[in-house]
Amino acid sequence: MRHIGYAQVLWAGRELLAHPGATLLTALSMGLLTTMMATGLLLSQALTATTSRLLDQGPDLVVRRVTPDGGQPISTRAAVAARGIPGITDVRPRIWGTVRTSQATVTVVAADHDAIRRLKGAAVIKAPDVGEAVVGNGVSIPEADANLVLQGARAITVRVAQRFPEKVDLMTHDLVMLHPYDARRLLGLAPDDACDLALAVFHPDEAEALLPELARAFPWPVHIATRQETRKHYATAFGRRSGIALILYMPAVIALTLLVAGVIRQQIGNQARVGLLKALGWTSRDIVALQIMKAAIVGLPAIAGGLMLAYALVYAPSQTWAGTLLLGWQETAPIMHLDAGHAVPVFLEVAGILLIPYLAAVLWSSLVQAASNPQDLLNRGN
Amino acid sequence: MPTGKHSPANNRPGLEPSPDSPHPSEPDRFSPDRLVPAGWLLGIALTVVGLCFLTLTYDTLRGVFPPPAQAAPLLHAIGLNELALVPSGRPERRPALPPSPIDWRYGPDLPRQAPELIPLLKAEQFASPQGAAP
Repeated sequence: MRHIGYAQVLWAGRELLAHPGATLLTALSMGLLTTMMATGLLLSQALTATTSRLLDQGPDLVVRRVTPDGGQPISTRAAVAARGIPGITDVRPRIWGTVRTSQATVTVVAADHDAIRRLKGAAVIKAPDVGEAVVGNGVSIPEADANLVLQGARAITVRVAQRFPEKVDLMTHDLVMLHPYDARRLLGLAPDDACDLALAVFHPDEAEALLPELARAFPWPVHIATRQETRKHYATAFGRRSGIALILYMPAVIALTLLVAGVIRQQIGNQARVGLLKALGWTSRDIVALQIMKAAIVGLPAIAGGLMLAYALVYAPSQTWAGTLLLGWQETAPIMHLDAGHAVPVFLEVAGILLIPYLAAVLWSSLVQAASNPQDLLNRGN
Repeated sequence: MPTGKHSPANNRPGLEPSPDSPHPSEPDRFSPDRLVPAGWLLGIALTVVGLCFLTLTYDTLRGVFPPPAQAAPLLHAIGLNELALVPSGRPERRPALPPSPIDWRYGPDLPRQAPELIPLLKAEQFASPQGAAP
């Protein structure tokens, strides 16, 4: 064929429309297969990236006093010992824990009034006073009077004064921020006690080098968690869940195999038509180009559409299905504003996994046909 | 086998006119047979691919994550190093101190806390955090 370009592409489209049902089904199969494979990979990638980004805002080191029975309260005066170590820039005694409401279990944290006072812009919240609480969007209040009953070492009732912004839902969904006095009463801590110490260091990359000196600074055994360990914890958890999701890929691989087999069978069944085209003067290159064009017209939009659907499922701003289906949330799930910065490698990976076998099947069968004698093709087709 | 008026042989682009052609008066024109729908099919395919490419590129570059200028100070003010990815109270929620697999009791009917160990641990200075871990 002398004219390669629009005419050839148009001709490929025309041939596809000769069997619109088969064309549509192939496209739908490829699209759904793409969505199925890309969603799991994208979600794992997005959660890892977002978690890492969020944890950057947290403390570099967390020091807990430990006994054989677990964690013990730590005196806020112990912060002095940590402050004296070179390289540590900030020490914050934290009061936090897990308590029950009438509906679910929530995480309670005492407000750091100094840190909240420094907030500016859209993220401003008011530090709760005694008897007040700032709660996440997943903390439901059964009564109409906005009072929340918390059951810890003792029961306290607080008034919900404000809710955290939706944009930080991934960190505050079931969080209740209280005044330190209320938090201590609720968790059964003495007035001078805290749960642990959150430390900031001058060089976060060198935080691990401070661990021996930090451990020696306290008169009792401590457990020190670094940010890297926390990251590793989340990455391991996501990796484990992704491993479970890989089971879903087995039917996807079978579907891909069937799809490739279907393509080859379709090509073989098309021998008479190819023989006729060759008899009319089409060259082998024309035949191969036509088949590749047909495959591309079906495959590329299907894979692009499938990737788009997966992208929308994972990164849609109001996405909550992952929390409900995969992370154990029941009535409400956090709204996930996920980091889409690393999606492109996943797209390329999935597109490659699907396109390479598909195009290889088309190319191989086309080459076999193109190399055959037109008479043989016509005879076999008949 | 495609033959007759709608045969691809008759509609083939660039085919030289011949006396046997069914349309000898219009040798260089495509037959409208399915070519207009084919054009639509190509248009739709190109539009889908183009839209997907543009959307993904834009969103990937921009990012869906809320701007750190708003979220970062609030997260810093809260000061926790755990995320609300799983509900509160589950072990996966606590990355800082995973529950110790060691049960220090000599028997299951003893109290959870072994009182004789605490003074011992308090008296000892631990040289490294590994030694201090529960």
